Amino acid sequence: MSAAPLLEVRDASVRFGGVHALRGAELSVSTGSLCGLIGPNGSGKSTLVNVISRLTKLTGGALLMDGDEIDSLSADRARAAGIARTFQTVRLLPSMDVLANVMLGGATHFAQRSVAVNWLWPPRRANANRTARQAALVALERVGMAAHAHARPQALPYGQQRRVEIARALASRPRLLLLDEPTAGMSHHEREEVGDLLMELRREGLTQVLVEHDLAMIHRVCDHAHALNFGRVIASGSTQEVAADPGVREAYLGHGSSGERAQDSERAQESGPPESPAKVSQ
Amino acid sequence: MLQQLINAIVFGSVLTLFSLGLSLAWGTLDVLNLAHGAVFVFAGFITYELTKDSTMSFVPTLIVASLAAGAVTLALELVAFRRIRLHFPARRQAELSMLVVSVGAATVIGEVVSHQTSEAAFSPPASAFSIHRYSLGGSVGITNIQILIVVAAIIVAVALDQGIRRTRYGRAIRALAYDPTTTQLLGVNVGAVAAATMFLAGALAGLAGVMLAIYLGGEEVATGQDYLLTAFAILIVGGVGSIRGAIVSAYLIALAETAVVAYGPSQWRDGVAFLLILVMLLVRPQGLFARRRFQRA
Repeated sequence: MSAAPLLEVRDASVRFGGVHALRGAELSVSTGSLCGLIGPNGSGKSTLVNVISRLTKLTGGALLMDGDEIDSLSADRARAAGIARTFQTVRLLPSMDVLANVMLGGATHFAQRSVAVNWLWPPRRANANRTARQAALVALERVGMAAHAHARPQALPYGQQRRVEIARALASRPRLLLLDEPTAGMSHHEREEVGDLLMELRREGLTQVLVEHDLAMIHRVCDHAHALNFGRVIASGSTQEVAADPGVREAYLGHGSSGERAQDSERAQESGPPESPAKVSQ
Repeated sequence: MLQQLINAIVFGSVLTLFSLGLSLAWGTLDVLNLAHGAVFVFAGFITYELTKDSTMSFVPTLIVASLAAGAVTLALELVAFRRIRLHFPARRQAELSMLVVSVGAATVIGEVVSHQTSEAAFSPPASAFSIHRYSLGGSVGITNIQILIVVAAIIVAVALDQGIRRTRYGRAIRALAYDPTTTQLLGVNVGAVAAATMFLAGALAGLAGVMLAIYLGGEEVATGQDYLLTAFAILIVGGVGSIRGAIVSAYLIALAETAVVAYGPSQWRDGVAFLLILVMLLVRPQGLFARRRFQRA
């Protein structure tokens, strides 16, 4: 934890009309760490992930990557800058096979430099296409899904679809990976496997932020954690410290929210303002 | 009979070029661009302007007029459609606003052309493109411009179909049609892809407009509206957003209209498109080649 922070969120607030989704949240993620983000439903976890992935604009505060302000970036620029994410619900395109879906995730890698030149010069275009394909295959290999490259996403079991989503995020070789409840709805065995994968990625030096309801999962894979409630960070530190924090215990136990119920209502919120197309900046 | 078939194929090719652009904008960006017909006529008008004093030869005219049509549609996208998209989170609301804006744009473009041509039909001079007729025995024949139209339509149709299926731009556009938010988060510059798509759609209308201006020997402002109506029938019969559906139904409708004109009461010609829309909506509302339209999660 001595490394410099890759990502810093300072005094972040987000307001949707009269609703304060975030009010002064602080977060610091050091390079190479696997940081857990916990909190009851409606605590602002998803909003925070949306802010970092540049889907939601901050109403106040600052967002810094490597010390540079990135709050003005559009979502696609943020992706090009190395921030990739997965979603609570599977968002694969049913009309494309798994490989094409993952290639879409690698779109930034070469396209950003000069779209026009790539298009007008066929060898470069072919080369870019080959590179994207290669990167996609590597990413699929990485999550153990290379054998299913030509399957349709909806033909795969749920747990494998989620793996494909992680591959799609990895295809752009991100520096920061945001995982929004990657194991929601998975069996115990599948959760273990995804946990192993995240720890492996961490050993390879990938910085990750994991949003999770399951404290056992956070305990097993994360080095440190932040707990949110009512749009504020109420505790941060090692996973043990956060789990033992009285405020966190109260937020969790006081609400008496079992994991399943919390996830359901969190998902219902997902379809609300934070992810409406209006927030897509072009 | 053979001559009718040739005429139908040529007409179907013009319809293909025209309706592919409309289909692209509607199917991927939910822009129901009623100015598409006006842009089409605008390209014919540019052709007329460029060739009337025999200043420009055919190929440069074709390119300039198509690019001009693309530029007009691109301007519409940047000035209006993009802003509407950003302003209305709900697609349905945005769709209606775009519809209204495009009617306005169609009127403005139509008025400009009317004004410049003193409301008369305008014809590029015969010298602009020397039309040669190849006889196929008896009274049957085909002209070089007819061949050009068919070849252009085939090239464009195949290129577009394959481009959408296989290229990175094609993948981006399909993703954008399905889920713009996720697509942008995957690193696709959705604004640029939308702009490129609208430019392409306009340029296709332009290509069709130039070809038709030379083929028919002239156009007037109302031509655009007639074609727009037929193009809607094509999209509904083919299935909105389906490139292959648009191509197949363009030729089907061309065949039906040509048959009515040749063998039936020719004043029923415009009724054919309506009849097909009606039958299709009753029997198979998703179109022949339905692209499944998904609700976003």
